[in-house]
Amino acid sequence: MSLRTYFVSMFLFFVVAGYGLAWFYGQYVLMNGIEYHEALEIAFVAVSILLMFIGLLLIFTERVIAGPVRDLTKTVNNFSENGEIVPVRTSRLAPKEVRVLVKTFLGFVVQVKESQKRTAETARIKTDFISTAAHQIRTPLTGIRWALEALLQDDLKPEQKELITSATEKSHELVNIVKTLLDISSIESGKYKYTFTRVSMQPFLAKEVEEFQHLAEDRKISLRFLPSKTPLPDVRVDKERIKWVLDNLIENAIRYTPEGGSVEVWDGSIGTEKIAVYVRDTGIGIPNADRANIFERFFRSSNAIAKENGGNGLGLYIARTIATDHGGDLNFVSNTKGIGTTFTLSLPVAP
Amino acid sequence: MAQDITILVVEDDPILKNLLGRTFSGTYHVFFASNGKEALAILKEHTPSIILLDIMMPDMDGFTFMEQVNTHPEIAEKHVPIMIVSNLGQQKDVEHAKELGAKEYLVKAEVSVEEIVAKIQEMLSTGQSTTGQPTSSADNGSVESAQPQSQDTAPMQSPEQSI
Repeated sequence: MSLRTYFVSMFLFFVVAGYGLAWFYGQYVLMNGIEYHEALEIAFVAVSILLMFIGLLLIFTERVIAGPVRDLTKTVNNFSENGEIVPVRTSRLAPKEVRVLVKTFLGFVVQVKESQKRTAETARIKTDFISTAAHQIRTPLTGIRWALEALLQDDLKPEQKELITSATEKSHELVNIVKTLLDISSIESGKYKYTFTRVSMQPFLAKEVEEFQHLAEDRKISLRFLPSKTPLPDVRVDKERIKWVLDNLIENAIRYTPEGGSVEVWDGSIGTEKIAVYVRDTGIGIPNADRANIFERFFRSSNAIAKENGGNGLGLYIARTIATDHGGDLNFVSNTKGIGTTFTLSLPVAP
Repeated sequence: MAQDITILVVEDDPILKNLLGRTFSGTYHVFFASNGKEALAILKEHTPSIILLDIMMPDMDGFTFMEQVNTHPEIAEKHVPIMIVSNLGQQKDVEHAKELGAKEYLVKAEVSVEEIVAKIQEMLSTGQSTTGQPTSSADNGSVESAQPQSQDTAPMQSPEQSI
């Protein structure tokens, strides 16, 4: 029975009952010559009984409509919290609309659950595939690498040494590519579990920069960390992943800066919600043509230094994904005072 | 020199076994096993200083092997440190291995054999001062007089990502 029929019926019932009772009451009073006071008392009692019936009817209606709706809401909440579907009972007395709604909605929730299962299954298959493929590639690669490295330790003519060194370097590149592919696949499939801890960035950065001093010296570049005077609030980050991002940024800065140049790392706050780490180099900068693409996968700048430095175009893509997964961002600008680029890594403050 | 150190290499790929053996020969005593089962048999008779354990192997993989070690008291009480040397490298594998008792986890393709040797020395010299059996008499001494690592002729560590 539809809601409308329901309420129309109820209304008609009350109309009939109301007038009917009033009429009977009137008759009763007239026939028995009842006094005004008594008449009023009887009227009072009658109205109370009527109200009680109305009350019971309303309770019944509420149960029969709101009951299923409440149960449905609870089921949906339950499902979104722990993926379980609890069946919802609807009595046959419930209005049609409510029954149809509950049935349709439950059907929909079941569909969502199926779809989730399929997605998880696909992700698992994809990860398994990439994991298996990576393992398959790595094994012969290990053999090649180790054999070449062993060969390098023999007495070799200079040309031989050069050839083997080239081959070894290429084998190392392959190793990196495989690792990066694995990283991307796990980050993308959402399976990478970040382990967030509270970190104080300034000492962390100081240590990072120190680790790269050696490389900077080799390349005759000055590398400095300039902490901000006011202490920075702690952030909530996955230490290993953020270290990876910083490693990438600082190493790139060093590699892209010619001799005699400088790389500076400093920090600061962005409002009260975020802090930022800046890495500034005095390199050749990022050509305007590349600016839009630099965070895309596999993108490599076509300039000479990029070619010389190798790499596979995936570093910045992953770095940015990590930054955004943390609730922050990674961006850059071309330096206004002098040449080079400044990268900005922003991270949310720990609550 | 590290004359008293014995390594149990558990690796199914013959070429990789060979390459590892080349580097170790003359410096360490080495036992070879092609899978977990063979490794267990060796462990029952001998007590190596350290185990280099691959994971993907036929007949009994690395994880099952570690489980077996843990449930065999006569082997478990030898407390031989285990270093995983495998080409699986996903987080869940590393975690699983550590849960089962592995002390280190190296991804084969990402390290040179020299780096493996360095890690072995590191593990054995710290193993002395903490828990577990003192593995051999060659402790601090071996760290300094380690095999000639022609680090300068060997290629640099793997280049980092760059654009």
